[in-house]
Amino acid sequence: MRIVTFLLTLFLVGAQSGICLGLEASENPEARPLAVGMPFPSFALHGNLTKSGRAYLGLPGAGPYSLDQIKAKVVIVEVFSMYCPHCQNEAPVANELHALLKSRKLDKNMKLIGLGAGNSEFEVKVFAEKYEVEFPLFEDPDFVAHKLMGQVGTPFFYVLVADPGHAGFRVTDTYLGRLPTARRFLDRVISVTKTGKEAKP
Amino acid sequence: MNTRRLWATALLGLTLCVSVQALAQEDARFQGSIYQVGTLKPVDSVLKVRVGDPAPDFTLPTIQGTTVSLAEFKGKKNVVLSFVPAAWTPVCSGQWPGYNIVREMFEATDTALIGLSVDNVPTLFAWVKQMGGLWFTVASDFYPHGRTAEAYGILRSTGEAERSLFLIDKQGIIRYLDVHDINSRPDLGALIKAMRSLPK
Repeated sequence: MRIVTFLLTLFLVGAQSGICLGLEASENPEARPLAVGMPFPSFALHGNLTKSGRAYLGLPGAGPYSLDQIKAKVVIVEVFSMYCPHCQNEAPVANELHALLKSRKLDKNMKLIGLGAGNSEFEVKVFAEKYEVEFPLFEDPDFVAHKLMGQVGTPFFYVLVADPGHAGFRVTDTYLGRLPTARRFLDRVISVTKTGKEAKP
Repeated sequence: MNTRRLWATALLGLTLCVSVQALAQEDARFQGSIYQVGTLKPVDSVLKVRVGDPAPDFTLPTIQGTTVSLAEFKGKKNVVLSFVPAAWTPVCSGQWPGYNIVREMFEATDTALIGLSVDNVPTLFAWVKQMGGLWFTVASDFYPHGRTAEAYGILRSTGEAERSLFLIDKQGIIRYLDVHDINSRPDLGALIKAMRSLPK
């Protein structure tokens, strides 16, 4: 047992230091991610949301919507593309993150949405159906939102926290590439957004 | 645990890490290996076929080690030809992986998909492997250089094929085509809609 623990520790130390594991993302040399602390741009969100998707985000019936309309203290935005193999591989983990938010009763104030960079409504629908994505996905066929978000590689996660008085959202954390695990990423989000007190595991 | 066992364990652990590191470095070698081409002239060729024309036949080598001919599908399957300009370039590297997750849509419409570029077989093989593999046939229009692309009128003056899609029905007639701006990716929705409009 001790041997297993030792091996695992050695492996994880190597992985954590970036030696053992390569970055799994479709990188963009033009990428200029928005820095932590910056206000997040309030672009139009276009998407054919289901009734439950609208209820989840607290959005009115008809779109397009704006990010500021989302009723939450924290919003995690996954920038993805149907065409990106890393995003395809990532989809089950993002689904797990969404389920985890729900099971830990964090979903009232912490929402997860996806934004399909360069993806049409059809392409976003293909991705959602293929991977049975339950959280709301929005399309961005002409890369308008993607440019405002710094043309990041995919998958890319922005963790946003609402400004006091809901004047907008601010970048609180960023993450490029596939998540290690949904649980570890959620722990990280809770830590940087100080929302852990609401967690009821 | 005595000292000898501890050292043996450490050695084993290090071996495990180095093995994984080797695998990861193989993957990491591909990071940053996409060649940036900048913005190009959107279309740089003169199309030689139209919707309603018979599709020019071809026989080309594939990365599967076989050859593929358009004629072999006649009377059996509709065919989509997806020409991309070049392996290891930005938009092309983000096009076929999308087709990789809609195999069911091709099968439901009795349509075969053939990906083509003017790169040679080994280059296409390595590129597709880097994508994680593809379910559809990938053919090389390398030699004589771009002969098939030229027959369709989509060979650019710089030797690459246009980013283009041709939907050919079971009679070998072109039913839909899109010679797209080389700098952007065609919407999958339009292609699938055209495929669904053909009789099975």
